[in-house]
Amino acid sequence: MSNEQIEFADFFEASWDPCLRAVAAVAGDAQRAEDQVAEAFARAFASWQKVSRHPAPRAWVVRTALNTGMSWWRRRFRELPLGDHDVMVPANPGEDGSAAVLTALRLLPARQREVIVLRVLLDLDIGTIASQLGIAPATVRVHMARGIAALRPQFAPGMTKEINR
Amino acid sequence: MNYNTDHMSDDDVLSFVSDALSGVPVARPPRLEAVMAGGRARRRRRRISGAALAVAVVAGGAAAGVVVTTPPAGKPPANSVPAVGTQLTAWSVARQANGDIFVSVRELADPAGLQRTLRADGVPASVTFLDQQNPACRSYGRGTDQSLLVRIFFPQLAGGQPEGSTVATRGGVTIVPSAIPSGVGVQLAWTRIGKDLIGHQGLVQASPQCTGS
Repeated sequence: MSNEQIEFADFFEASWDPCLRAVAAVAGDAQRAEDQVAEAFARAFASWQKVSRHPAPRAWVVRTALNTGMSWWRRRFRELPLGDHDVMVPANPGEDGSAAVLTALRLLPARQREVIVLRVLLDLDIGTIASQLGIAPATVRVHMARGIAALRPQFAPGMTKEINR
Repeated sequence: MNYNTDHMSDDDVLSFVSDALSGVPVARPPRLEAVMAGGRARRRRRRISGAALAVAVVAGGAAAGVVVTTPPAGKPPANSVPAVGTQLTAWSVARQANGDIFVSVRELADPAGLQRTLRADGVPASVTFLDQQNPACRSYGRGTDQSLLVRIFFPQLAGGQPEGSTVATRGGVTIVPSAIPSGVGVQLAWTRIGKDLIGHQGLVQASPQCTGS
């Protein structure tokens, strides 16, 4: 394999998981997210010279995957509330309240969900999120604050004990 | 049910979200080779569309074809050998050393003569100028795969050219007679838009009424 291919292979292996989680969490459809993310990685390889120099290559992949999905979606439907099909389900839903968190995440407005997911799964700072989404950093902060405020009441007392130990 | 969680910091909330998302099982990745193959296919499509031409599929039953912008005066490749009696003012047909045919159109005149000349050089063709159509022609393979068009008209691309190569079709059209399947003819249509001659290439079913053979 060429250096380019080796570099891409390393990136792909390390990034598939977080990118897929991010897209599935934002788009709300785990099955379609798989196809979108695979397509996005193929596009990343096609433009690897550019993507490898991007300040946040994983964010590039996630954005590309989401844009692919949104194009498909827009051609067919106006934005609909997320249904229950192929949603992300925690491995052990009853044990730690994560199901409640994921449900609450799904119910957030799309932009708030997107900002939070990019922050927690790709570890992007406010400025990078802003540039990826094409919005102002101040707007990102607003979305983040509103999303966190909506999520906060979902956490049960049992969960706060985990934080306080 | 909501709980009093005002004491939870924003980072605490985000940490919980991160843990919840990280615990969700996700699908295994596809094979790396498949992903890279998809990327390489994209690069090839970009090279074709980024060259000095636009690939267009003509709707309404006409042949799938390629539109090429050609300047009025064309030059055949340096190693081409002009066929006897074909160096005319309006157009020229030159057979290259490798057997390919190079057609250069400078004026939109005598399409029938060009068609006869191509047939004599082993290329069944339907040639029309200025949006004239031959109603006897039937397109070959609606939605014909682009790879056949590339093999016939853009041999430089069909061989998997290294990155950076360009399509040398300015001023003319290259036809690869050996790539034309039996029963198939090439459709060449030129029109003028402003100062430019615009060429359209496609494939038709060969017949006496359409291609003369």
